[in-house]
Amino acid sequence: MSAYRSFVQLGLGLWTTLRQIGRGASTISYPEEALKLPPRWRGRPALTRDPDGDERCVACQLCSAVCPTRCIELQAGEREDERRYPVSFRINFSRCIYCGFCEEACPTLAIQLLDEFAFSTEHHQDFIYEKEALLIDGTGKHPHYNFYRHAGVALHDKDKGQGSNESPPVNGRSNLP
Amino acid sequence: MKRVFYLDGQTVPFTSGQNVLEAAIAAGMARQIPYFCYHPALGSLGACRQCAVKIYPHDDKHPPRVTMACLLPASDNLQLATVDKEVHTEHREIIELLMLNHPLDCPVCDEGGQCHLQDMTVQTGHAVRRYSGPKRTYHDQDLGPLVYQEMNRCITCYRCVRFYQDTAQGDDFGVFGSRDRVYFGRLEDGPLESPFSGNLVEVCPTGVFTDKVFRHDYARVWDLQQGPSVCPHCAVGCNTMPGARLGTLRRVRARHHPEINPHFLCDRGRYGFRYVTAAERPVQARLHGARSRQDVVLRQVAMRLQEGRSGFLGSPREDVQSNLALFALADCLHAPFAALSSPWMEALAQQCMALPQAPTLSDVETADHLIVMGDLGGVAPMAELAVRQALRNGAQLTVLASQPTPLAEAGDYRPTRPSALPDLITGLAEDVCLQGSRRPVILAAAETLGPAGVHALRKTLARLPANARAGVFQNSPNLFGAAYFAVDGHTARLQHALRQRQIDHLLCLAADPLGSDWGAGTWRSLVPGLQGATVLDMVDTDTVRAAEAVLPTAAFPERDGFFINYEGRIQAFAQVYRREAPVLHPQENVNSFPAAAGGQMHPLGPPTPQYWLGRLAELLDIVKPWQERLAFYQHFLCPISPHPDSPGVLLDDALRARFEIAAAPAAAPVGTEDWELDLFHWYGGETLADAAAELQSLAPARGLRVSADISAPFATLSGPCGRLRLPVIPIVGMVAGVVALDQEGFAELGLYPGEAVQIQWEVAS
Amino acid sequence: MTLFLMALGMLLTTVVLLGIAGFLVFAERRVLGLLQNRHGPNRLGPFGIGQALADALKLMSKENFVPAFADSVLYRAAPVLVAFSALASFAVVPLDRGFSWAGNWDIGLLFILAMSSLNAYGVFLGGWASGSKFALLGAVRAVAQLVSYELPLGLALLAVVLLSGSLSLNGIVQAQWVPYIVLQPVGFVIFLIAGVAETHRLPFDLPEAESELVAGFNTEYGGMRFGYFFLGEYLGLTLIAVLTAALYLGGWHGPWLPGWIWMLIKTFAVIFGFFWLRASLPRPRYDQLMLLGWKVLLPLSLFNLLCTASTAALWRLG
Ligand code: SF4
Ligand code: SF4
Ligand code: SF4
Ligand code: SF4
Ligand code: FES
Repeated sequence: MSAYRSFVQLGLGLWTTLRQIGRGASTISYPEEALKLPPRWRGRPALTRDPDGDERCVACQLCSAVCPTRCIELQAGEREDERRYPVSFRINFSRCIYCGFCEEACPTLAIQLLDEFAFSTEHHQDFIYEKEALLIDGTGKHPHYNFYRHAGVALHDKDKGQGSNESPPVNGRSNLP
Repeated sequence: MKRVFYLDGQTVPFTSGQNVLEAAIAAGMARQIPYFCYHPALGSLGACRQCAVKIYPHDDKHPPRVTMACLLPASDNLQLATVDKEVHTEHREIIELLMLNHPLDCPVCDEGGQCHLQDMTVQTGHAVRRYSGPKRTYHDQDLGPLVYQEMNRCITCYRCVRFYQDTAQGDDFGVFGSRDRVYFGRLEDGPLESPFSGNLVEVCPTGVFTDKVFRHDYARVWDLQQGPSVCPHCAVGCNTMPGARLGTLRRVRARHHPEINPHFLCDRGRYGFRYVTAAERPVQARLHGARSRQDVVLRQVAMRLQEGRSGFLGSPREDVQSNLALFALADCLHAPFAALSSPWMEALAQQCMALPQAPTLSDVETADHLIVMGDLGGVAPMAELAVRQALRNGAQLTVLASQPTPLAEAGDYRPTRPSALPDLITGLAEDVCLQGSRRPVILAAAETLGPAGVHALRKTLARLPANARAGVFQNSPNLFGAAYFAVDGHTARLQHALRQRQIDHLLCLAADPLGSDWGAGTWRSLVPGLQGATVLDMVDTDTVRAAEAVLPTAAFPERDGFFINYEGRIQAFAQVYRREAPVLHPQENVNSFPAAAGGQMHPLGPPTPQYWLGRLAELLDIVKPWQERLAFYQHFLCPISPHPDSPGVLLDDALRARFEIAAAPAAAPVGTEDWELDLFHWYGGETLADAAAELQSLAPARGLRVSADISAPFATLSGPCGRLRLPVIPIVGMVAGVVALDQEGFAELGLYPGEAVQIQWEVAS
Repeated sequence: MTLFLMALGMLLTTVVLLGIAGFLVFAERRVLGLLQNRHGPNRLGPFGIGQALADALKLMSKENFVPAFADSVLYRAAPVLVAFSALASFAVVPLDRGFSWAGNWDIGLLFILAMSSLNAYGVFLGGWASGSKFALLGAVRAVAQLVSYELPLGLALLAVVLLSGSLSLNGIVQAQWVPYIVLQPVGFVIFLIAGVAETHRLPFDLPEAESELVAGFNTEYGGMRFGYFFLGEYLGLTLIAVLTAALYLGGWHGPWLPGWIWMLIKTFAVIFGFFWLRASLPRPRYDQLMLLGWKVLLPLSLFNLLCTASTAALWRLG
């Protein structure tokens, strides 16, 4: 009985493959044919800017901490107005595995996996992208978020109490009830 | 019998006097009880209401109730629970309340990654913010170059004021306001005055106070390479934890040593490390002032040494092995060697080593009667902190000094001329008060006492009851280690040889005989006989600038070594990182090695003095005898090498005994009408720390400190080696007839504390 | 003169056969693509046909390298042996009535069996002479597999011989008044399965199971030596297909078209069947392979032979 069943199964398997004749190929002849990337496609990470055009990254180093291949390396710096930014930011794309952890960890939505995925060179060193190559002119997938409007720190154009959901600074000297 | 109570069914051991939270933390069960305002050094307050536990009374009359673990004294067989609905609700809701006004700052907050608030929030499971109303904000203050304030992040645990006002007894920082507007800061903007202000960064459980120096070159703590090190800025030898990243040193934190510095660090120790990153630091070998290749310089130095007309000068600023390596090299070459730059210092070192075992700082904290001589806090700030803890415990403090030091204000200030100290010390033996106290401790700034003073101290101690202890401090980390083999008139012999033109080349290890070392005046007068000097150093000094050859050396966090502190405690420090710099264009550099993300790094680190000396021995073909001698000396002095993580081992008493026969040095007599010199020492001042820009921006103005009744704007001092014109700084409460001068001043004049000086006052026009 | 013509003819046959093998390499990949919803080689030339040529050129231009640890004489001899044994078997295969080198040879079938045993030597020597563990393991598997399946193969053939009363292939084809697949359905299936196993083609490619043995007996081979093994495999495949056509599908018999065309059509149909098997079936475990050979096919073929023999005897008696 079981022998009979296995012959039927064999036959079904053969029939399944035979049926595929004429169905055409489901492979895409990349690169002649363009790929349709889904909107949440994870290409190489890039650094985006906030809606004001300033770089979003505040050099918090969460992305480099979470990156499983330790391929992000950055050094924090401070601008005149005490706004934090990455003095240097490099990603080693010969190590990146496009897992998207960095994007998930980034509290400012600065680092985003955009749709570039096909880039190749002859030398490993050329895969080490410095900040100039990573920073793009745009907001990426999140057009509206601006971290510094929500944070409590003061900046040149935003004093204490002027952020979103903040009351004006209190008078710490007052003893009134 | 071991005493225990029960927490969630697990036994927790405790000792009497502990509270429940303390015992639980000690037993490694801190995860069960979140807390904020409790701090092992600051004690319990009960302000944050976070550390709730449920207590089950033993009688049947009282129902179980929720209470604060930090306020509950541990007692036998207490039944406590945290796995409980009410306790859990309390933990979660208190955190939620504390977080109501907390800003969304973590990404730009320097505390992130080492934040107690973050840890506790995650631990208690508060993940979603329910409050959507406006948040309270504050304006921040500028608290000087060391500490950065961001008041919005405060959770009012009061740790900061408790540290600043109670522990450090500073009076320029406090709590203001009322209600939910309390404000922790200064009355006005301005630098914090306490020499311990940097500890605010460590005690504050949130990011209100963060390290401003670290801020400029910030790295998250998880990226830091850290290792056990020892502070090289004074004789106390506090344990530190330097943190480096990408080949540069970023910060220094306190490391727990039960007997020296269990929790804190002074600002010199915390911020003085910037000498390592100073732009002027010599990092490349130099010949005649110009950068040169290592082997060229080495060959030149070896040639000098081969001529047989060289002298060797060590330094208490360098570690044990380097000094011994230098000594061994001098020995092999039969050349004159000295570890200290002046005979006066030699005598002082000899007397210090002859003193009986000094008290540890934790002994000082439990003393009940303290006598402090000179500006202790200026020389060794952490010793001052220990004295202040003793004061809090009710000790009696007498300060014998010529200047109203910060400690003098806290105790019984007896204005004293330095030259009178030896006699006063001798008189202490008859002091009834001292005789009658349980744990009397005498502490002094070594240079203010001078050799005669320290000698008198030893004689007095011998006549006091056995429980009396004494410690003297100066501001180099390794006086004992450097001077042990070289105190018997070596300096005088070296200077004599130079004067007689028997030698014409000096090999200096971290010594600055032409700059601000003690006795520099004498050396300067000998310069005409000097054909050239070779310096091994890690900071830019006058001698480095004047030297024929400069061999830069690794800074202390960049190498392994030993220091011997004021107690004779041999402490090891470990290499924390390797000095290097990123290569921006990797293709260009072949001799580089990869950094974390595939970048490449130049190894930049200057080698250790031992390496340099070894290379010289190689060039001179005396490697073997040099190595043998070095090993012999090292084994003799430190037969057991302690591990960097251990509390260290004490120098054998038998080794120190040989100094007890040292003759009583005669102090030069000073007439009562003469102007007498005393040492003025700023808490941040020390040769290495002098290169730390941020700390030095707080340095007081240079000048001659005199009692307030002098009105001359300038004064000219003359000593055997030179004259010095300085602005006059009147100090209220200073002893009349005494002027206080910094170490460079002494070096210039060729005088020592407690000696008379000629002064010409310029009359105000 | 005759000798010269004969040599020329032989050369021609060899070249054609090699050409067919090369073409099959390419055809197989296209067919697999067809069956598996993908393209297969489609870059070089029309339909990617140039790919076969490119592969051949690549193999030929590679260095003939002998590993230091190999037995160099046997190492060199093995691929030749494999290719030769497969090629030589074609001598007795008739394409049409009288269109063969030795179709009438009355031990044709025995010759084929002998050659296939020689083939086993080639494979085994190749694996053994390579001096590598993978190769040796592959070779051991190959020998065991060839030996195990030779038996059912031979027994199935015996039934055919019994029916036709001839050992020459011409004789067998001529004897088929109806294709023997009708008379010998079980024998046909046994022959087919054993044939696949004999040529160690997927799904029975255990001797070179790349996921376990890197490349099995030919692990250490490269360049044209590897090419010989490769050609040998495809020639073997063709041989089994052409034998199936001759022995079970009525050879050149067929209406309208000339005989040799029928032969080719039948052969290629069987070859397609092999490709189809490859596209559909996974590789069995080694013990399953042995089980199938010894516990299923062998008894089955004996039973088949017994039935055939008794039926034939009854027929004759009756
Ligand atoms: S995508 Fe993953 S591997 Fe790549 S940089 Fe981000 S975290 Fe690292
Ligand atoms: S996580 Fe975002 S903000 Fe933080 S360093 Fe990375 S990119 Fe910058
Ligand atoms: S204090 Fe702690 S919780 Fe608050 S912003 Fe800083 S890191 Fe985050
Ligand atoms: S500033 Fe820091 S230490 Fe002081 S009360 Fe606020 S959170 Fe506590
Ligand atoms: S730690 Fe107990 S109330 Fe704050």
